[in-house]
Amino acid sequence: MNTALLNRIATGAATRQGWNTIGTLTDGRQASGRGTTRVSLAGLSKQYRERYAVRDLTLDLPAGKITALLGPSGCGKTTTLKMIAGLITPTAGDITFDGASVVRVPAERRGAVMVFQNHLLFPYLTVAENVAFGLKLRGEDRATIQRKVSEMLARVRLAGFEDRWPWQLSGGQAQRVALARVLVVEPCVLLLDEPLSNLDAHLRDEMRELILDLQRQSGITTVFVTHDQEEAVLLADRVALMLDGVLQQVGEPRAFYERPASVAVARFFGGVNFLPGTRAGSVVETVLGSFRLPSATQPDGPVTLTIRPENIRLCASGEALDENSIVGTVTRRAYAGTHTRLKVVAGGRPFEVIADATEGSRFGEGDPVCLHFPPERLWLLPAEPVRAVEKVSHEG
Amino acid sequence: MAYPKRITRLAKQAGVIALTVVLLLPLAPLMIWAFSRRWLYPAALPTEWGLRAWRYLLDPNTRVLAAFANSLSVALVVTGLSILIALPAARVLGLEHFRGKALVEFLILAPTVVPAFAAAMGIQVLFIRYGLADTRLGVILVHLIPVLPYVILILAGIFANYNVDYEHQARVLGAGSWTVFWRVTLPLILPGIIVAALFAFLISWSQYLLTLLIGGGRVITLPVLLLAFANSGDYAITAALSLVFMAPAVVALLFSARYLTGSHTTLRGI
Repeated sequence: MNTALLNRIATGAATRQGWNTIGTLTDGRQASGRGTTRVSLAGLSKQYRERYAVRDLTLDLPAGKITALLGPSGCGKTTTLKMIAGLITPTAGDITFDGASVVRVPAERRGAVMVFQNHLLFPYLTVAENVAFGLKLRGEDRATIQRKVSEMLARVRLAGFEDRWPWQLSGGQAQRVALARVLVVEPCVLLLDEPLSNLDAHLRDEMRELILDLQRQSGITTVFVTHDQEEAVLLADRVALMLDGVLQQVGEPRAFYERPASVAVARFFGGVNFLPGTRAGSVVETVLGSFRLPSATQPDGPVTLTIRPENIRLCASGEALDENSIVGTVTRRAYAGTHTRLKVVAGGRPFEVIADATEGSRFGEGDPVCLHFPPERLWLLPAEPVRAVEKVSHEG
Repeated sequence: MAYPKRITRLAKQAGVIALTVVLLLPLAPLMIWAFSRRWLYPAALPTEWGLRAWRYLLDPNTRVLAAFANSLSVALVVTGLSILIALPAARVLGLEHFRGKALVEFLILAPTVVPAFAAAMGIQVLFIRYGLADTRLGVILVHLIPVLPYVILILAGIFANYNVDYEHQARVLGAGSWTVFWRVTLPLILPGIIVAALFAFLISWSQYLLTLLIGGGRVITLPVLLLAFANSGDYAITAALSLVFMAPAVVALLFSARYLTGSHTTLRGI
């Protein structure tokens, strides 16, 4: 019983890895010489007086991939981005581009170019002059600049906008000019700070596709910052989740749904069902009974059992009680078009279930219901309180 | 209700005319005096007209042209210096938060509350010791006392609404510190600089007491000369000199009107 949300994630991933808009395989991305810089952050910290904005961040940003720095506002992700760009000097740690430390390289010579959250087009320059800004600094001749600017504007679908002024552009257009202004200098790393957050919902999809297309064409190593987990999942090859300046988990987007590293990570990705218990072999003992796991690989001891709301199966309470099942009462039912959300209380503990619309409609508020937790959908987290920094990389 | 548009237009025109009259009427006696040769009581208008006053002003043997040049050079240097000094101060005050900021702001504004004359009385002793008294440099330095608070205040206001990320954007695109200043900071704050410069110029241009005190009668500027003629009772020359004295203010006002109205036009106009 796969749900709409997971479907969307799966399709998103397929689009990302399968083909670009032209229809060719994206493996050709390494074709362009520039832009395939591998960025590594090692023990990176930024401290303001006693407070850490970023603490001991070690993270690899693979060449030619899109990495999302995900986290709520104030978690240190923009600080991290500015440190990569060279706009903020780290108090500890190292940043390397293809193995060479760049901490002492000033921003203007580092080649990691950032697009800010609000477009920041220079109001006293036309669109073409804005895009030409970086090229002029590189001393390129007039004809080359003009050609590159026109080409770049065409690539962001703004051909013919050369002589407009920034105030004559819509928010989406201005954001695209800002992107063009940065990409035209062929940076080795592209840094995007909340690239979609200032846009309306329909423009957001368009901009996301544009960023994906441009990234696929140039193969540029891209890092973007976002507070929106859906945006991260749809746009990034890899996601790095930060909370309170500390990296929580890095991996492919799926891992955050299927194999979160902690209760905090699971919560950030919409996990709501948590049950403390004690693990012994392939069984977890809880106040609601024992749950069987598919295998026994982790050490025994206290754990938190979790299952995503869309992975819980519903059955009528009259049906034979399977193992890994509990009985509860529906307290709330909300119909959401493609699916139905149920709130269930079992043994005094709240659970949330996302069922498909017809399945969910079988149960009304106050009805008894049986919840089945399939063993292969169960996931164990470190027991609460979760303070430990658990870094789990599930990639390659 | 049939002709509200016409009525508004008429009202507007009447307003403009009234304003012009109110502003220009006080100037009428000055104009008349400046072109009079003989005007005795109780005649309503001069009995003889002439260009005596203007001939005197333009005569290279009198001190009028020299005073004009003095005033102009002092005011221009004061304007340039005050912008140079105020820019870094205003940037910090507008953008940063630090302990004791309120105290610093108060001290910067203090010269607008305490008469500059009071400060200059004490400074005069120092200036004499360092050989700055009776010199043009001394006058320039003492003019900075009343000028700087206004310039810093205006520019700090500009920096309070300034987004440093524009500079960051330029830097990541490859601009060094100087390029960032010339191609990003300066164009962004130019309207503020123009307004601040106009204020600086006008404040310096109209200084009388400070010039007299520190210049010691050796550095003659237009206001010093103007008061000398006013005391002498030669109304024709005083009137002509007053008109000359007013000219930069009027030009500055017309020029600044463009920059003081509407931030959009100022940014577009560059």
